[in-house]
Amino acid sequence: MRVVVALAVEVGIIALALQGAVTGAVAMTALVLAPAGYAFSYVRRARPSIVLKVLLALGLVVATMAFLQTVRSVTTVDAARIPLSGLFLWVQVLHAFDVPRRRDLAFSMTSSTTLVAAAGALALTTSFLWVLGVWAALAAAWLWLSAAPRPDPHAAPLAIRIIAPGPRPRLAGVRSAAVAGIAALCLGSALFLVMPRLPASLLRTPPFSLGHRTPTPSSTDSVSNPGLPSAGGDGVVDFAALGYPGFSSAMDLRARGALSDQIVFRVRADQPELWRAEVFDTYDGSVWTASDTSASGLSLDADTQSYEPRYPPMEAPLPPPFSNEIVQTFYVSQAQPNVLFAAARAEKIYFPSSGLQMDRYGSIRSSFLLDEGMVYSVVSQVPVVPTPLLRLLPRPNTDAPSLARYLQLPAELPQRDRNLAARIVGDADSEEELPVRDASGLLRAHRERDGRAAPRGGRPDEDRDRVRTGGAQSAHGVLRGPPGRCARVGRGLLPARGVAALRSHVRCPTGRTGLRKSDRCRRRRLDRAADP
Amino acid sequence: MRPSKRAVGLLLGAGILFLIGTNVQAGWLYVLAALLLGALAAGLVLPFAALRGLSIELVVPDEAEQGTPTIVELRVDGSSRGVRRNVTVRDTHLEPVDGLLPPIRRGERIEVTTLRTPRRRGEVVTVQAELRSNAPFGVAERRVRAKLLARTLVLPRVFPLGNLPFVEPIATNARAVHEAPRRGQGPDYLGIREYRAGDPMRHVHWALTARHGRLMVREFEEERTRRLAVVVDTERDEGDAWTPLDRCCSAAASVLDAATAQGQGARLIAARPGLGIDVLSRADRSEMFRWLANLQPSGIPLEAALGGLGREDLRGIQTVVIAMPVWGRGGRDGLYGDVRRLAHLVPRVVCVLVEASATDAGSVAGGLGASGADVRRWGPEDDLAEAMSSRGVLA
Repeated sequence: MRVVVALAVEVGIIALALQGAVTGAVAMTALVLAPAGYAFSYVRRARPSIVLKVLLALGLVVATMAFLQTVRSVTTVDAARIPLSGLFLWVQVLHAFDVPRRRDLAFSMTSSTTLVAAAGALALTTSFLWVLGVWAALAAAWLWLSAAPRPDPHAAPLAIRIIAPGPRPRLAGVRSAAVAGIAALCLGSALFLVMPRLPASLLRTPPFSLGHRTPTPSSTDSVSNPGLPSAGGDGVVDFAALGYPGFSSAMDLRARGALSDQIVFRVRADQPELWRAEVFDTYDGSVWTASDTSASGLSLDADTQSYEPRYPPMEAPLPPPFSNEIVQTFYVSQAQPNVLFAAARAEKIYFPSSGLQMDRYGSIRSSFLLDEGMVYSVVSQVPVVPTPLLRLLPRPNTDAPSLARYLQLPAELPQRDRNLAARIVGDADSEEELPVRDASGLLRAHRERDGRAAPRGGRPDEDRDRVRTGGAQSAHGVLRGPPGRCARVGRGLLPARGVAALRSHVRCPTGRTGLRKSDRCRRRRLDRAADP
Repeated sequence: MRPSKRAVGLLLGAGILFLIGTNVQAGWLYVLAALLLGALAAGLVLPFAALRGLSIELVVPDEAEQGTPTIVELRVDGSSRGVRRNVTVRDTHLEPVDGLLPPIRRGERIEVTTLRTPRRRGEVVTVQAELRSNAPFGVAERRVRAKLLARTLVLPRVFPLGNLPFVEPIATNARAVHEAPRRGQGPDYLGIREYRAGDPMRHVHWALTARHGRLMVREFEEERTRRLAVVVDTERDEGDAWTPLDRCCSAAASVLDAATAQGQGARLIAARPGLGIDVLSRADRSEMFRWLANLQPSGIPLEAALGGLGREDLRGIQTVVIAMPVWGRGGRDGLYGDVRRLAHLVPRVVCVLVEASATDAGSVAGGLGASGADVRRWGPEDDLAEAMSSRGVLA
């Protein structure tokens, strides 16, 4: 049992080291000292240990002083986790030298759990599963071994005789242990699936920290995307392996290319949500642009240490329960443009630098590029209006002047597209029904045509029947498909904006999501709730 | 099913991890919390199968002596599939014992031999034993009561007393018991017969004479030995083990054992619930010990038992030994009077005062000594042999 506990503690130390909570030298020292401590305490388990306890107490004082020195340089509560992990590591190592009883081993196992939990709080990748799996097996072994009752020394039997009808099966013990372990694993998995994902309620300051602090080459109010290649001869900026041309001042639908599968950032969030980066309101048939490029600076709230955007009064968020507050923490893995990704509508931004700017569409830009290692958090108020309630909304008045900007279409739009839009809408009598009809109608329309990829640089109005192969699909209010046609037909139905955004590709059941370069795609979001 | 502290710990740990995981958005803490809850759930569910198919049997002796280690064998048979682990058996036969069993596989029998010291005197009947298991994770303990039947009579404890000053050895080699009685002028009745010329009139049994219409007389056993009468105070008792009544019975048994070893006969007198004053005579040693083993608190004062003893009841008795607990400081004038009367009827009256630690038997001993009794005081920590060989109060 002592060996199992020592191994579990070693796994905890390794887990912390893998997450970078402690340096390699500290981890190696702990990995050597902890088993040595268990062996030492086993040898001395029957002797009085007053002097040893005093020495261990002195060691704890030294570890605490080192922790206090380290924690002075910490600026956020989140960043304090790492020195705390180090402190607990030393507490665990020192405790290993004085575990004479079975009860002390239980404390060690609890400490091992804490080490693994600290590592789990820092882990961002699914590779932590291996560490957790090994630790879980050791923990189950400890539960199994320590559950055996200790024989009462005062009622020790004189003799125990086992009368078996035949030879005892060798693997019976292994089989029963496997049954217990599998039962625990299955029940744990089931409980994990039904475990509620509650919004963070106690956390005062979500994590944020600076990466390499690379300033943008241009002014703050414009978008800098260092990964983009230069424009081609036709003026179109194509995809690069690490650069998506949509994250710039315009989103050109003629751009072609492919992105790599590298993970660009990881996100911790309560629920899946679209990460909006940029919004455009003008469409010329090929390129989405923003008609208003002015941006205003965001001020830092001294109480919350966050930047709080100010929206026009008419864009006030829906009151609960028709909106949901979610906290998203972004861990940047690859260099990104100076555009902050966040679920609409951002209420508080915990960012490690000043100089944040926001345009009138809610796009947020920083004065630094999002470098590897940067961490920022955004608290957003996401509308969650039930579908039956949305169906009560009347059809929008497309003749209203305030919506003209979002219904704007190129003048050369063919009449057949307008006819298609009118046919799709039909007799829809509510705003909610429009995007549904839009989606199904577009899908049907594309199935009817033998589409081919539009030629490079070809204008949609010139090859209106040669759209890219693919279907329109509705998922979480997002239409995905041939964006040019979506835009042309969709804007004939209801007010719409173009949004350059990201959607999670790798979703971990633990709530962490990872995003690959290839997940970047052009989207047109029918953002009704946020749209005026 | 009883959850253990470990279950509370796992639940608490999972809750803390869930809370932290929620607030720092660390999904791996959800996984860790779910694993803890999974172990908890498995630990709550699996013990239901941990005791399935087990049967238990106790092999016990018919008789045992209080305070003397006795062998009791426990047999557990497994008949279901799988391995039954962490099984403990708790039974209270003679002495509460928690026995940890090795893993039990299908078709196996585990025989556990235990050594138990009976704590109480009297008949011990055990009708069930408790099987427990906390397998596999020690999260919860499943308990099942298994039916069985085990019966043992616990005899009073006997201390070797050696030669007692008030038990003189007899001069004959014939044993006091185990021989066919012969008619004589002894103290014990032998039978009833018709009157013959020469029979003394004081032997006439008037009640049977009136019933049969003929003159009937009692026949007596020939007196061949000295006799000892032991009176046990059974008025009340208290405590769970080695109670005052147990000690009185132990003192009586030890005196009887010493007396029979000296060839003396014995007569036992005590009040018994529902029977009143009961007298056991013409019994062998084991029968007398069984009689003592079954003595229970009767609620009848010692004064009533002694007051009922007449000259006929004490025929042939040389010594009356009274084993009585001392309950308090209060004077017992009635008892002193009865002892004084007995002292006139028999040559010697010995009072064995069983003292509890909190009582002061000095006044009672003084009163009994003044009444003509030879007082022996047996304290809770004293050796009975020493107490019986030294006089507490001179008569």
